[in-house]
Amino acid sequence: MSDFVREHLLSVLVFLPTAGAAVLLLFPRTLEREAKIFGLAIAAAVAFLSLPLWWRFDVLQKGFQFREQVPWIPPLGISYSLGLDGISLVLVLLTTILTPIALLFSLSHVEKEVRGFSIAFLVLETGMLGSLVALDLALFYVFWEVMLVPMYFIIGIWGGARRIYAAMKFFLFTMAGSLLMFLAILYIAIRHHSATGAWSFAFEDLYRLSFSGRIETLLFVAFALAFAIKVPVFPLHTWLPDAHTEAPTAGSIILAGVLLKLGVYGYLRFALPLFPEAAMRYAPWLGILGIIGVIYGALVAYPQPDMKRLVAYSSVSHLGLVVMGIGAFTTMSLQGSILQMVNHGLSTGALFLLVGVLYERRHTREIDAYGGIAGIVPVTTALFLIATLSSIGLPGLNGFVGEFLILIGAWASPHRGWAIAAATGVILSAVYMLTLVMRVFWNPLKNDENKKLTDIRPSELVAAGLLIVLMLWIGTRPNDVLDRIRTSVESLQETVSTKRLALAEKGSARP
Amino acid sequence: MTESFVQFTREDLAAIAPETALAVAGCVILLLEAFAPKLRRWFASIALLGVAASLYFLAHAPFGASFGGRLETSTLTLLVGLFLGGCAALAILVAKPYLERSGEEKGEFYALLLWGHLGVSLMTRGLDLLIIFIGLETLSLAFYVLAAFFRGVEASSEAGLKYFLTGAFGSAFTIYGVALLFGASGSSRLEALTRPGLAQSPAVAFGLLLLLVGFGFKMSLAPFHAWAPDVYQGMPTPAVLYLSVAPKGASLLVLYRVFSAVFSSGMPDRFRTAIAALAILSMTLGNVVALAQRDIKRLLAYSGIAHMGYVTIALAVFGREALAAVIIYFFAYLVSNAGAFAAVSALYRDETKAHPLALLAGEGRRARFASAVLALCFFSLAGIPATAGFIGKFFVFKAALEQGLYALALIGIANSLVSIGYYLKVVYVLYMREPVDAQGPPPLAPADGLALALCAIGIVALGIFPTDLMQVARRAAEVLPLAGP
Amino acid sequence: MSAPLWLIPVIPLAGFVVNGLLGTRLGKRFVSVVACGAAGLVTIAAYTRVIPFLSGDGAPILETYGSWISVGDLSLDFSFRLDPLSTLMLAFVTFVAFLIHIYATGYMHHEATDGGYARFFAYLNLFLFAMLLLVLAESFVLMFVGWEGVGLCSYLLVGYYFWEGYAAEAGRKAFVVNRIGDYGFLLGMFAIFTTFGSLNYTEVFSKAAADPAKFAPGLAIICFCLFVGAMGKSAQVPLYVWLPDAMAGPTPVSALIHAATMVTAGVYMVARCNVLFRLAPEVMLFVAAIGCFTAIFSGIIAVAQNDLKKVLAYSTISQLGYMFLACGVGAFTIGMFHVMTHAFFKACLFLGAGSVMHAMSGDLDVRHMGGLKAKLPITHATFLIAALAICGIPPLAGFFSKDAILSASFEHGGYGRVFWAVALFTAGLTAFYMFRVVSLTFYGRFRGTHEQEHHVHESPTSMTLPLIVLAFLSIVGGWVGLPAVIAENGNRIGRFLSPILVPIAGHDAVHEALPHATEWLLMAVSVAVAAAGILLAWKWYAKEEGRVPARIAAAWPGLYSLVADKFRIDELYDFLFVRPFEWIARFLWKVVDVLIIDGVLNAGAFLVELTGDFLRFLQTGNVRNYALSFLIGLVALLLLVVGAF
Repeated sequence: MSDFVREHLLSVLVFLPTAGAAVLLLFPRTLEREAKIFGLAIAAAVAFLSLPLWWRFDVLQKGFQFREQVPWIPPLGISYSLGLDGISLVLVLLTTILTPIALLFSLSHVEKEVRGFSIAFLVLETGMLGSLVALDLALFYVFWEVMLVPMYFIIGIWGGARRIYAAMKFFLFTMAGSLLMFLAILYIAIRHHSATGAWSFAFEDLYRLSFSGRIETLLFVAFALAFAIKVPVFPLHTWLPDAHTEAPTAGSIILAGVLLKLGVYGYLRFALPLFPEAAMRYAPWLGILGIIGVIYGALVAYPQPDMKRLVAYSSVSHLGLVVMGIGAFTTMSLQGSILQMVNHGLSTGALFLLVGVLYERRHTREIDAYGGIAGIVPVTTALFLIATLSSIGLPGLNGFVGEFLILIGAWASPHRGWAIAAATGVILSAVYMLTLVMRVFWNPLKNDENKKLTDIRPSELVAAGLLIVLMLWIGTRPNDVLDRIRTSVESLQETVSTKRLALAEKGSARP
Repeated sequence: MTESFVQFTREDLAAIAPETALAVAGCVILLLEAFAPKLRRWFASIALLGVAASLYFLAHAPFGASFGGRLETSTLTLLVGLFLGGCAALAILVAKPYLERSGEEKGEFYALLLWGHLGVSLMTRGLDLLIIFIGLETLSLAFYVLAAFFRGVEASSEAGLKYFLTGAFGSAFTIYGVALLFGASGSSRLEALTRPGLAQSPAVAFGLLLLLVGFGFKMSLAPFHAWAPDVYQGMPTPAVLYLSVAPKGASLLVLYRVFSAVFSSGMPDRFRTAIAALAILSMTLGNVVALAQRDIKRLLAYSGIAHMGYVTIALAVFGREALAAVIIYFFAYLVSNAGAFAAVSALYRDETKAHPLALLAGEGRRARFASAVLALCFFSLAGIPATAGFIGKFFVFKAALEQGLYALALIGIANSLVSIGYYLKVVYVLYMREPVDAQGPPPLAPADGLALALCAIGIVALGIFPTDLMQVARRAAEVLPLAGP
Repeated sequence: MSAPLWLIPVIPLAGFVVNGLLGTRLGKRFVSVVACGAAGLVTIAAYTRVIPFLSGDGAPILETYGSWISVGDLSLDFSFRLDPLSTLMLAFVTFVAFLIHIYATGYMHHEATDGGYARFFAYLNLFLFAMLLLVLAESFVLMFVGWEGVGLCSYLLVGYYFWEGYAAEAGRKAFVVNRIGDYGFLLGMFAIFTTFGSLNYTEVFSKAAADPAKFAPGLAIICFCLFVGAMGKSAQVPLYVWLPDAMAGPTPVSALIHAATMVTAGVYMVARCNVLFRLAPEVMLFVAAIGCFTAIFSGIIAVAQNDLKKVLAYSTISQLGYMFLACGVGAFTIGMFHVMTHAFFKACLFLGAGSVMHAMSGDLDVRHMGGLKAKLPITHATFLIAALAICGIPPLAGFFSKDAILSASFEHGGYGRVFWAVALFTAGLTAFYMFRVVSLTFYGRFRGTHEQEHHVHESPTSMTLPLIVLAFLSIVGGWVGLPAVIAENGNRIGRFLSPILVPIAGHDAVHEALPHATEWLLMAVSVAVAAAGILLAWKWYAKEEGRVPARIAAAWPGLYSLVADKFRIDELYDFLFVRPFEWIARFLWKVVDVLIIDGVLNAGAFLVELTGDFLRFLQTGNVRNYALSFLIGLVALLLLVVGAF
């Protein structure tokens, strides 16, 4: 058994949640608390099983590790092939860690349809992990889309007042992008077939293809659009504030913590190596849009009257920085971007969690409903403060390392101006986050409702505390993470450059 | 007309056995209805038996053409027979509890269903335009009556009348088209159409167009779709379940047969444009209008119109791979659409009244299984991966792209985005609204449960392991003289 | 035995962790013991390194404890540096901090036990940790950790009374304004990295010193960016606005963070980077000018303030200006010298103010005080000494450092003479406003309410003791830097710090010192000016109880109110930056996000639905129309096939 797990670790991680969900289906509806705990147990087991990835991962080895490959639809060369490189490794662990944390928080907070809630989350985890480790584009697309369904239910059933609009918007936005990508994937596979005579959707086969300028551009746009919507890149971001705000706390944690990253991940894993020429041609646009995101998100976050909405817009800002770092495409900015994805997952996850702590007690997200509660809920305040500091990139915590690497990488890139523009985020983030802290936790305690507030519960404290520990760890020992993504980033860069070189030669060969 | 129809060989009889079985089963039920009404509760079983028998005979019928090359038995007909039989079986399963609930459990229903089914299967096997036409008419007559099954209910009889009138109109087109082709080729046999030069003849072209209209009508392709919503609304749900799947598949197969006979050397672009136009119109109109529907049966009617649009893309592509795609698509459509109607039948208490969406509010928490399957079917119809519907779309769009019909594929994609709008609306009503009617849905009948379970399994199985079906479909597609892939 | 460098910041960090986690449960006594214990221990630990170093040759000691961030060609270590500069800072930061911890136990005694007390001391320890990190760091980035760390603590401690709206505001303001400076600092670091390929002091400075011709061109930008950071941290015009508000924090905090240590970090950083700055003369001039202007500008504001702490705050800003002036004219060592002496007397003044506040039950308005000399003998004595020290009256600490700055700018030549004149005038101002508050506080008759008068009492020993020590230091602190004219090589601190002025290849212009006569003259002038300021203030406020100034204020009301309102700079910034920022933010949200982007999308969706509703009406249910649509369809197909379209 343990051998089986060792050899099929990724499969086990991906499908254990679904298996758990299947078991949950058999639970009698009366066992609500048990259903919650079971779901949490499964997620925790997945987290536990995923830890060996961290140690067993060979830092120096190029290419994918923990490979698994089984033909799935042989006549079309579609195979069930999984693999892991540094980039997916860190995101996989982020996922496996955030999911139980989200469920742990929900333990004391979700009342209706508890069983369905756990099921939705477990299926969602399968979708997320699957799309992070899938190396076959068809397989990837399946997981990529499957994610939407549980998230649709999570927002739509357990969400806030405007949940229906938010859920629908989320689904349609994401679908709009991925449908184009679907056509693009089909097209590439067909091109591979006509070129080699063999069908294949395997990433390693397809990225050997090279396309003529216009086609490549179109395909790239199809892919990039799908991922840009997920990230989201300005101006495709408007689904995010609604989805994050209306989703239940656990949903927001996963949305911000993992789902957004899948956009960036998809871009790095597929769009870049498949269409390097176009990707590089449009990199400046990416950078500019990223910068707009940084500043725009921060500015719009500032006047938000709703805590979750404010944090949601801060995500737009942070992800903008990540995108900018990828546009800059230097070793430092790339590694910074990947690290920053993890950081954002931790800090924003913690912020949503703590906002949830307040929300569950006062049932309002209105900032003005609070004020001066630092004395009432000191522990929550302290945790929120730390999360805030991590989010605004205070050195010593995780956020700083990522931000610093992205910015210094951008400065070292040909686009020095980007760093200058994007670094203003350092100021803006302090403005909106500290204003939030001031208006919620500081200032005179006016509203008597708040005098009755109870401080954080043990289960919530554990959930938040875990995130804080990770923040400190990455802040002080970022190399633990950076070492693991280094090789992947370097090989990504050389893949792109070699392929562009080859294309250039072909271009010159053709008169 | 020298050859005579009188002397049949044993092979011929074996070949026609499947249809015979259906006819006999129908008669038996009618007779029992007349003389032993006590046995009513066995009718459904007998009907199922009939379907099973016809499948058995179909499987054992000698391969090749019989009746002097007028009736085909091949991998293709076998596979299509399976599709049709499955559809009929599901319809019967759903029909039993449905009729019981509506207190109208009469033998005619099963008999008519079986005879309609007979007609459809003749359509798919006929190698002679007349046989095909006879099949078509048998189907139509049977379902004209089924549409008006609830005599007392105005909507039902209106549906019957409408279906009859429009149907007659449609048949007129068909038979006129048949006549033209006959005139041009001098024979009603399809193989006669393969004669070189015919493809250029205007008469043939016009004839083909008339057939396109006639069978397009059966497929409820826009602009020949208008009957579908009204008829679906009035017709008993199990009958709709059958009518909304089997005849459509059969019609498209017929079109493929005829076109492949005429255009054995590839379809001229103008025809392709015409068919593509039909596809685009159907997809767009179906999806857009479906958004505005408040009645689930009408919504499904329009969704069906849209889906016929998608699959017609594969006719425009016109190739062996495309035909395989059609077959896969219809299997996917069978499990999804039949499942949806089965769920509708299981979720609504008063059969004879309209089926407003609003009544489904909150059922997700009351009729859990039926609602879950309905949601699954809708996700499948919407083409979400890991469901059958995705596989269907996958192959159709793949075929389109391979043929270089990029615009068509893009329009198709845009449409499936629109379609999500209304499919999700139903899911939302099921799960995210509070129940409105105190009464709630009827208890889930075993037969319904079985039908739903079969569809759900089909959707998931096909969605995850499409390989086998794909290979069979490919072999079946080789039967027609098509340029592949 | 001597402590490893890593231990020095870690001790207060431990104190922070213990008090932060357990403080609320274990009560005041425990908290005080832990906090002061940490401060005391760290002082001892620090001195186990300082004392040996003093006797050493001043060669920097580097201690590295593993890698922190390494990506591509960027590699940053946890490495600390002990050299004259950091030794000096280490020496007085730890000691002053220790004194202020002691003082705080008395000052904060009335604080509620509900965590407030523990919170305060936890933050104080955390601050000490960050400050020591800042001082000991060997790389710009590690220093930045401390740099922002002290900013954080300043934010937390300014906002200590978070339930007071103004304190909350002040805390946020402090952090945000500092962030503006840090923005510059960050860009400066990026530029340094791309220019020198490293962010470690040793490499950067040695490279710059070795090949100035190569690097000089880029350095103007770098130094400017760095100085922007310094302006934020050390409250120079235009980024000084946060410091006066920062007085909302408890007084020990004002003394420690906003007078003695943190605010001097900017000067420390500039001195640290003297190699770079010396290669960017235009920036040097800028630094001097900013410093000089800040000195006089805030000096003027200080004259018209009635809040004791506000006066001290503006005087701090002014003194920081002096320090930058020193750096600007190339006298980095003198700048650092003033940093040290200023730490002593300004800390003493603030703590004295705290003691007064303590006696006046929280009231800080000098108009309500008067004649406290009798009631608060120790406070009065120490305050007086510190005041004389800041005025630059020999032989007190302030005299030597300030006079050195004056003469340095005088002998700098060029603009130096202008700076000297302004600085001299400012010295007069300083003397005037300091003795204005001294007279108003301790002399004349008491002007407060009766219960205040009744309540007034000298502070407990825990508070007076630090005052005495600091007063003593304010006297002798300057003797380590006697000018050459008084005692040949009496300038021990100058010599001690000289190693930080790394000689730059072909770039050391050794201008000969001024003739002794001039030196004496300058000294005499500055002392005279200071004395004049003191006497005038004494006459006007102690003797005549402020009739003359009142008349002046009446004569030019506009001018007076302008100065009293601090030149309304806050209002100006509010108008120029804050309001537009909020307006733009709202615009982007309400118009771009909601109206335009979402509007377009929703409109699209709505349009599709509308079409659906419209087409629904074509479904008339009338069979004739259905038949018609058949025909139309057929005709259309026919036309398509014959190729009419």
